[in-house]
Order: sequence, then C-alpha cells, then structure tokens
Amino acid sequence: MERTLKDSAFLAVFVIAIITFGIMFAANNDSDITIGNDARLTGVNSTIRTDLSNLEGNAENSQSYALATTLEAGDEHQGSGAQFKVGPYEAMKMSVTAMGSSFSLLFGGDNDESNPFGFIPILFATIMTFLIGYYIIKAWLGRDPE
Amino acid sequence: MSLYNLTNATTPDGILIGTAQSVSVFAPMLLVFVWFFVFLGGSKAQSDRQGYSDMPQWALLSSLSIFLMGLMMTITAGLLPLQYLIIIVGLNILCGVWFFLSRGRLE
Repeated sequence: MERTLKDSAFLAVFVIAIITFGIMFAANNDSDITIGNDARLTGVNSTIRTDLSNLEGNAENSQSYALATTLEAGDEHQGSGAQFKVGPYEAMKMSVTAMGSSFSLLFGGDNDESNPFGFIPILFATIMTFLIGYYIIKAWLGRDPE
Repeated sequence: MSLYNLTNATTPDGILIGTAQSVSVFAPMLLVFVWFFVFLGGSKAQSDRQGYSDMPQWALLSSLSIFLMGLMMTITAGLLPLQYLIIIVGLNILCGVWFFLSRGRLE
C-alpha cells in the first residue's frame, strides 16, 4: 500500500509538472501553440491537483488523529483502523486519471468528438496498409517491389 | 514539375517551416527520430557499460527530450500542430507511469 501511495503521488506530481511546465513555457515565450488551449489536459491538471490536495489534507487529518489517540490500560483495540485507511482511494484515482487521459490521447477519444485522433491505431493501420499493398504487389508481380 | 513546393531556403524559418508545410510529417518524424535515437543509444550504451539497460528510464528521458523539442517548435506557428504536442504529453505520462512502477522499494 505504501508503494501504491508513493508511486501515485510521484506520478501525480510528475503529470502536474509536465503540464504546468508546458503551459508556463508557452506563456513565458508567447508561443503560438500552447497546451493551455487543450481542454482535456488542463482538465486533467486541475483534477489531479485537487486529488493531490485532498490526499494531503486527509493524510494530515489521519496523522493528527493517530497522534491524538491515547491508549489506557485495559482498552480494547480500535476495530476500524481508520488512521491507516487514508490515501489509497485518492492515490489510485490520481493514477487512473493520468493513465486514462494519456490512453485516450494516444489511442483516440472514448466517443469524444473533441479528440477523435488516435495516434497509435492510425500508425498501426498505416503500417498494415503499407504491408498489405507491399505483399499484393509482390504476389502479383512475383518479385520484390523494391 | 516537383513533387512538393520548394521552400524558400534563404532563411532558417523558410527552411524549417516551409519544409514542415510542404511535408507535414517532417516535424513528427524528426521527433520520432530523436526519441529512438535517445532511447536506443542510451539503452545500448548503458547495457555495454553495466550489462543491463534501464528501459523505463531511457523511455522517460527520450520522451522528455522530445517534449522539450516540441515545446521549442511551438514558439513559431506552422512547425508543430497542437495535436502532436498533446500526443507527446500523453507519451510522457505513459512513460512516467512505466518509470515509477518499475522502481523497486529502495530505489
């Protein structure tokens, strides 16, 4: 669980850093094309920022709750274990947001008109079309097209 | 008759942007070349030196290099469309996931 939290937090900070760097680079250099014009990436940025901030708040609350807990002689143990349960949900949500967005950026939008372009399927289809043409010519002429 | 419109090769802008406008795949292919150059070159050099290569690290490093190149290409319009920059960011995020999940507990 600690591993999940750590990786997800690093990933969230990485995604925020990449997108913010791109936006600020464009702002500083007065670029003609900026990531800030893409609603999807700016949405991902703000979602992950909110999730990370929630995670931070929850982790602080959980820590102060755990620190404030006192045990007297003869107390029963706490069945809920609430102080150890903070984080994973938010952390996984951040990873899912980041990965989901990058998957839709590379493989095409999920029935989303704003991002109909799927880079990897189009690349794959192009290579397959080329290969099919190549082998048809090869079979037809009986020699290498080269 | 030429296959494509010849560019005005008297200025750097003419060479780069003119080529990108005549052959629209020029900028993405340049970035693909840099990605594979860094990825394969770095992995090979590391595996020659150390006997293994850290593929996720080199994938992330090469994605970051094309991200920086892509950002520089966006300063002037006509060289790299926004769509390609977004794909580069997606590639960065995926390589980042691969990198962070590939780290061991103590690394």
